[in-house]
Amino acid sequence: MNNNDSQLDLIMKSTLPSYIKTSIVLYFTCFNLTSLAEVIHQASDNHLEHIVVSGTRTPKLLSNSPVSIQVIDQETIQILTQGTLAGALNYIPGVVISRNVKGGYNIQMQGFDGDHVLVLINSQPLISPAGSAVDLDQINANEIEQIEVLRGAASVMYGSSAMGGVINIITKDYDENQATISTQISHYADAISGEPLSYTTRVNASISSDDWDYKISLLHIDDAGFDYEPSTIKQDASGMEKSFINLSTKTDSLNLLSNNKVTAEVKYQYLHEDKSRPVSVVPGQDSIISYLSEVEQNQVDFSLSTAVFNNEQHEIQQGSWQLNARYINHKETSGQSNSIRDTDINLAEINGQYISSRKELEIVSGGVIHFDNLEQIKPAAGTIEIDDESRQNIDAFIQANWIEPNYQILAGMRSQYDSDFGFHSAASVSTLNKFGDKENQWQWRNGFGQGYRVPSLKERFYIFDHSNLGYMVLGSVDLKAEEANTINTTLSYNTEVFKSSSWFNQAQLNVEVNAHYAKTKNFIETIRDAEKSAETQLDISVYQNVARATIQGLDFSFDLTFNEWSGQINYSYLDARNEDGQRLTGRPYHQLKTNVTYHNYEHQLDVLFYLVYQSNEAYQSSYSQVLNNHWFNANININQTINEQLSWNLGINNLLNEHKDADANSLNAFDSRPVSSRNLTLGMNYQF
Amino acid sequence: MNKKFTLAACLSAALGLTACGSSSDSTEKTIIEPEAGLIYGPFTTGSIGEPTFAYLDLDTLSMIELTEEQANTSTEWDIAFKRTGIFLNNNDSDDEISPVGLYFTNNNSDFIVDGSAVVDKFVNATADGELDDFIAVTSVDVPADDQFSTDETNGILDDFYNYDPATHQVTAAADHYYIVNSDTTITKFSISALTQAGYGMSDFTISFANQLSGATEFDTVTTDLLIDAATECSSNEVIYVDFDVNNIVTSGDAWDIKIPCLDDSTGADFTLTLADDATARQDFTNSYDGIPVASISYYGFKSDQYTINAIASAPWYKYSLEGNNKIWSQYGVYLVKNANGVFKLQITSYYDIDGNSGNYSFRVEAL
Repeated sequence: MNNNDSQLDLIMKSTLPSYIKTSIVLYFTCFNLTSLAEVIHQASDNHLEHIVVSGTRTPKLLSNSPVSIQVIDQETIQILTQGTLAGALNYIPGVVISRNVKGGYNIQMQGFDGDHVLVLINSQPLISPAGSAVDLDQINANEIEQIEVLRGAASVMYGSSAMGGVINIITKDYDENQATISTQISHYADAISGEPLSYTTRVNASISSDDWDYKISLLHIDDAGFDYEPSTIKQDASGMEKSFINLSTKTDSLNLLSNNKVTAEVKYQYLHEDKSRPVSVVPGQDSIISYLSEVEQNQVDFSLSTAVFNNEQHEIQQGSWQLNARYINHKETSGQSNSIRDTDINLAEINGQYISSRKELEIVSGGVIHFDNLEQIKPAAGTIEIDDESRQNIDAFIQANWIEPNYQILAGMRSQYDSDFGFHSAASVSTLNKFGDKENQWQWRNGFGQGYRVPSLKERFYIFDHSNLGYMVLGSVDLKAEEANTINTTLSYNTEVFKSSSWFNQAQLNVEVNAHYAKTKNFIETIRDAEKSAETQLDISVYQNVARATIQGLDFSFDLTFNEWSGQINYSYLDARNEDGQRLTGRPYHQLKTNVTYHNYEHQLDVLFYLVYQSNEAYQSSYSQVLNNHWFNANININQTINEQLSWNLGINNLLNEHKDADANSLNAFDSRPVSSRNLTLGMNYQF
Repeated sequence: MNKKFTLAACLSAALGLTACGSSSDSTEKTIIEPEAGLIYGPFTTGSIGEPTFAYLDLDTLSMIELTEEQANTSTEWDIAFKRTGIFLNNNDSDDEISPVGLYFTNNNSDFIVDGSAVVDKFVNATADGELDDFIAVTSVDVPADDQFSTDETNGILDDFYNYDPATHQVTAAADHYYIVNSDTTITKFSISALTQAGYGMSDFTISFANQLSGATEFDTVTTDLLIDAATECSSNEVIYVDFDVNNIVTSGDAWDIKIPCLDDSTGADFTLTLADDATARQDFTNSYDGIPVASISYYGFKSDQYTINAIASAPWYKYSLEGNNKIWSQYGVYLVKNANGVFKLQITSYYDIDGNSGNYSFRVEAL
């Protein structure tokens, strides 16, 4: 135990109020640390209040963040999933997860769909295979240190398209020389005959040598898929093989500058994904049509940065900078076996930022150069669906954080020049007010943000030709950029309860209420084009701007944390309508997420039980009937550390085996329940 | 009025296609030996981007390779397939052979109950399983000639007058309304009066009301446009009318309908023709006060000449029964009559073995 650890231990054992403890610990935690990930890692290890970076790009205690942020820490993620991020996100309050037709997973926040929710890794964007929304099933949960969820357009740091919010995934930092190997087997209640088990295997290793750290992470998932009706050809979930290879190296000791050490880091990720799912017999033939998908994705990250903290002054550096570059290439061959399409997507981005910090004022300024390219063809038919289209944008942003003991103001502006849509600027302002006393802490956060999203390449150039079956979906080069104004207000109350109770141990109570309101303009949706349909005698849908929509909602959270037990109840209400007063489809009115966790220190046992309830989802009028519009999903996960080397985990996801009716599609019926199957998992983890 | 047009011309008008390919007169035949229950095919009808016709000659039970130009006048083929459409030959011939007729035996009516498809029936039906239905249809089931339907080509602006065969008098069918969609204006009109002069009209009145761009209903005030056909035809071959300007215009203007003059220039023929860039529908029950522009495609607007396919009254397939955009055959048995006999036809698949759409397989046999 080094000197800092000793001091931390003393502080944690002291009788100081918790918020003072955490503030002091943050101070010491920051001491000698250079990267944000290290800060988060240390805080997490010490089971302290979470430290977040997403709102301001400087580390702050969660209670000191001027924007409302929810955090899912590494421990919780490890309990929730051994595979991809999709397995963990349904746990997050207020987030709606949906399974797309490709078998991937997309997200919805505050009534905005995946096109308007930015999913970032270390504050940088990801490829969106569908041309717009990121597939959460293509993110390796094994690499995640912490997930930070920002609601609404509260920060200008990440682009103004984040109208619904930002999910920033902070990846793990480097451990000293160690290696772990994990394996998990699982079984679906609706397992495919002859394929009873699925397998997940992962290997992690970190090595430090001289001034350089190295890390390798391998993850392989062999998922058997599931099938509700074995007597039919159609399967409900694809059999899938997925492999991730992550390599990275970092040094904190580059002497590029005379007065400051520079940290350099290079990361590489390789993803390969194979899916296959029979969907139908060929009508009138003996053969079968399958949905097939093969994805190969390469991602390279490079960053240079100086330390965020001044180790001598024990405070945030007066000046620090960071330069990041990311390149992703995504090749995908997918579609039904009689209609395969090849997709090639490229993303390149360079961003830089400079943090200037004074006693009461932090200013983050920077810029982004971003490039997107998309090509999609159907080789067999010889048709081009998207003809090698590209776009570029250059952004500049500045955000100032005025910090006083009882209030903060965060104000920012982001300007963008897009190669096709020209200049646009968007602003956001957030405030934090703290009041009450040390036993009754109140925090009131308000945020106003302007959203702005230029149409994606798919929305502009797509030609989805199914004229042989009577319909087409077309992009539109005439689309305008989407705009939105969003307002969020969040009131939090924190106190200690049962201090003198003979029935209960002392506990921490946190109650939070959030209200949000958004007005959008030129929302992009696919709408049937009557004129084109009449002209061609086909059913033609075109990406078009919807003049206006209003989205409003309420989130309520009740969190009670004992020493070993904690419980949380979250309820979200959402109403989203277009200018004609019609509800926007795919959005549930009500969502309830509740969880109970238990940690036994003596036996190093963690148990997490959580429930998800959704009801009254808006659906398209073309359905002929409704089979179900409210559902429960219950899950339980158990982790136990046996000794320093060995741990095991057990989980049952979708305990009630609630799932979409197998006949829903053939009946043209709406069924809001997810395509899912009860899944029993059992895993072991060994650390060398 | 000659209501008979070549099939290809009708198809070209309906689908906006033009004939293409070689002008060679030579044709190539692939003879297929008949066999009970044998499935012929799959025969391609082109790709999504370039759909083509596949022509079947029932007499030889063979597919014939023809260009669309050749098919326009050929009486050699009987049935044409193009994507999901099935067309019967109604070309004139030197021998005045009757056009090809179609009759649906409705042998598997249990596939449709109360007008809705029984999904399990369609999805689980196989060619082998439906063979008995095909075999069960024999010459005993052949109905009288008048039970066979042909592909009929009509003018959308036909029937604007009443003809009394006893007196040979022609009067205006003033209650036969037509709704025309042309040049961003939707117009409802009828020929409210006409004066017969021999084989033509010396004058006639078009009564119309426009639904201008942005409006949801036709004007409540009707405009009467009296056309002195005798005078107009003395100096013109065709009378052009533009509803937007409420008047007669020239061929170079944005006209909506035209009326040809008689050869002797004494008046106008009993023919209304719609502009190529316009569509129209009939409203003989006077049911519509306006047409919602956003959903106009649901109102059945058609080009000047349109073909009603015989198979439309008994479609051979259902679409996307499992929500997966597939075409499922009903395995119905059709009787097809040409000049030389009656044949039974059962379509078994719209796909080749790899699942590529637009590839027909069927059973066919002479009765």
